[in-house]
Amino acid sequence: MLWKGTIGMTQGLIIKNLSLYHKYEKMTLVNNVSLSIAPSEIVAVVGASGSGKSLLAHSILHLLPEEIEQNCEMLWNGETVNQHNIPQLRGKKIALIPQTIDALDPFLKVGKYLLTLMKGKNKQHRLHKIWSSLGLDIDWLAYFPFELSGGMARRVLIASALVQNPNLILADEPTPGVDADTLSGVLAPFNQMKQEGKSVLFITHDFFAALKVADRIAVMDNGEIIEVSPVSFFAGDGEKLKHTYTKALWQALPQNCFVNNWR
Amino acid sequence: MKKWIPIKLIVPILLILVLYIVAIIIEQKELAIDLNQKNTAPSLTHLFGTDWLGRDMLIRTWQGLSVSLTIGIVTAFCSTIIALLMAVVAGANKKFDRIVRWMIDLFLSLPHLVTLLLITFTLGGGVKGLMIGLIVTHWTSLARVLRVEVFQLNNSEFIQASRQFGKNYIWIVWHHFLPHLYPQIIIGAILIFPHAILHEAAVTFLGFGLSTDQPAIGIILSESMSYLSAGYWWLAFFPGLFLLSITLTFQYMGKQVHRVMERNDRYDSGVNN
Amino acid sequence: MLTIKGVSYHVSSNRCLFDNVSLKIDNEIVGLSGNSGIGKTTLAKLIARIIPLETGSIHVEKSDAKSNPIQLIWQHPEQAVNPKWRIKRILLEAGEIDSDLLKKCGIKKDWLTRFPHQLSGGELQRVCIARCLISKPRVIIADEITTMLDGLSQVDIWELLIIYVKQNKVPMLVISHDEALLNRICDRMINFQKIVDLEKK
Repeated sequence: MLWKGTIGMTQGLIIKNLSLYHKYEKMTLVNNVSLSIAPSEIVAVVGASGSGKSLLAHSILHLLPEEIEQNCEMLWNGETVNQHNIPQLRGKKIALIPQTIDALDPFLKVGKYLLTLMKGKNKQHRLHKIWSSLGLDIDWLAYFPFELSGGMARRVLIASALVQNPNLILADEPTPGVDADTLSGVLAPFNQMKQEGKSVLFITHDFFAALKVADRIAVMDNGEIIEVSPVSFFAGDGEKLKHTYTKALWQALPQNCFVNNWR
Repeated sequence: MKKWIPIKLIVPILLILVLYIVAIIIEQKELAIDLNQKNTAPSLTHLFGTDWLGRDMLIRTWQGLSVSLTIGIVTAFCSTIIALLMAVVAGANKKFDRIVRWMIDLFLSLPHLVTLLLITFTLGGGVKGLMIGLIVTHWTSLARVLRVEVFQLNNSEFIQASRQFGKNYIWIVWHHFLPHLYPQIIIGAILIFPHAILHEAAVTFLGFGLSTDQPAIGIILSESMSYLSAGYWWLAFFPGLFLLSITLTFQYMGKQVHRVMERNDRYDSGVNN
Repeated sequence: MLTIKGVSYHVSSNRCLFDNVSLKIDNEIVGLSGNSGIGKTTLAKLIARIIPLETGSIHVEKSDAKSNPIQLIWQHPEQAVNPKWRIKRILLEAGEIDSDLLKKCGIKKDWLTRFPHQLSGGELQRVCIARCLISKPRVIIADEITTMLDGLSQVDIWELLIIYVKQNKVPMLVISHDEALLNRICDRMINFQKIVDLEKK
């Protein structure tokens, strides 16, 4: 029972026993996953493609296609989250960083598009502040999505979540194809959010990026969370890690042994 | 993996098939001229009424339909082939692409009906002239769609990979392009159909198309014009309605085919993460 | 051996991505690093003749096979295969399937009858690599081939590629932004930024 330690936690997001079932393929995609994210916490979910990590983000926002059946209990700041009240949270309290640039409106300049996501006064000013905090050039606000390079697109997608001023960001693969120099720039806003008492669910296959930014790492394999460990456990040969799969992931990093001890 | 073919698609296909088969069978029958029964209003014995020679309008309309459907099928088939050939040629290299684009623009910039009339008239009318006219004017919009598809495929990585393995363009067209294009091809062909039928009727109505001894709907409509003022409304009303419903059935069928293919496609792609 | 001489690429008539780049790769694994957006992928596509050459020349040993002797492996395996084909047909496109080679690439028999979307990213990348090896390339260019994969698949894929390359004496150009990875697998590293800057001066 991975969530047992979080009983009594009233702030943040708690997911209990999430199961996803594909009705046509007659297949369980995610099995009995429980996870909690406290305020001021960055939790990374790592796993191979097909392990069900992206589904996790979409199921929190109740954005899954109709052929997938979702069973879980979800609490946001102590209140149950379901199909009916999620519209009040989605894009307001909880924001998603989409995986690809396709999520942006291709016919709107990115600046204009981001303004449409914002609410309240002083939009322009706030947008500029977020924009420069991401290390983006003000001129780039006038770019169309197709004009952005890979690294720029990554940061614009992050901006699209930040402008909604959420308390929880679900980051779905925010780092692929980002080089070492840009990586710290891409990760900085997450640390910033953490300092502001907000939380991040960082979904990635890039173990290295997860280690750099997260407080706790949840390892997913085959639709199940097999281990949740604090980042400090990931050291040396990984003696403190519980599961052999997690150990194998750790040892497979090119910075470590670069071997596959799994299978 | 199960493919979905809903009832909504089967019904229009069956409807058209039955109509067509019955039309072919009754086409053989010479219609009796019964001058005692001329110009009677629709009744139980003559559902669509009779014309000025006492011929049953239901059977005449039905026979007319068989000509229209045949023309529609041939036009849709040939236009689709031309559209596909054009798109494939355009994909071969940039020079061909410019030529094809120019041809598409040329045909699209001319008013459809005027071009059609001109070609049909030049070829001397009749079934052959009309059919060639229809085929030559109806390939453009589908060719435009297919050209873009081919262009996108040409730039996709798996086509580039295929070229890396030394496959030539014809091989790639046959093995890669056609399986990807077939949904557009089928839907495009179905949607050319009602267009062609309506244009056939229009040209015939204007007197440039089929000869008057053929029982086409356009002929029936244009003949009925001289009787309309005498109050014989059924001469135009029922054949017109029939034509309209066939056209709408085809539109509907096209839409359903599109939906089925989209659904199967979405289902095929499944869930990756 | 692969020799590249004086290759340039212009984005538009007045903007040049890189100019007069020359490289020489013997039977070794060479890493090409550099930040995103400076034209590593473009260079790879120029070398593999996917983009036509503007200037310069590329020399490689002739092979008797029909395929291009310089084979590129793409970053996104799911885009590099026809989604409507079964794996067997995908492999056959490159030539005769050699079951020994499939075993080396870790491709299981029952994958052959599946469609690409029924395999995971790592499994599909193995298929792409096997397809590349079936065509008996003289040079392999690997463009960010494990960026989208998890760590374990990454290890497996490099292991099999390195063994093949060393056994068959095939030069390989590895493009990646991950310097730690390049340090692990390459005999020699080239910083693309430095070459570009050097030539610009």
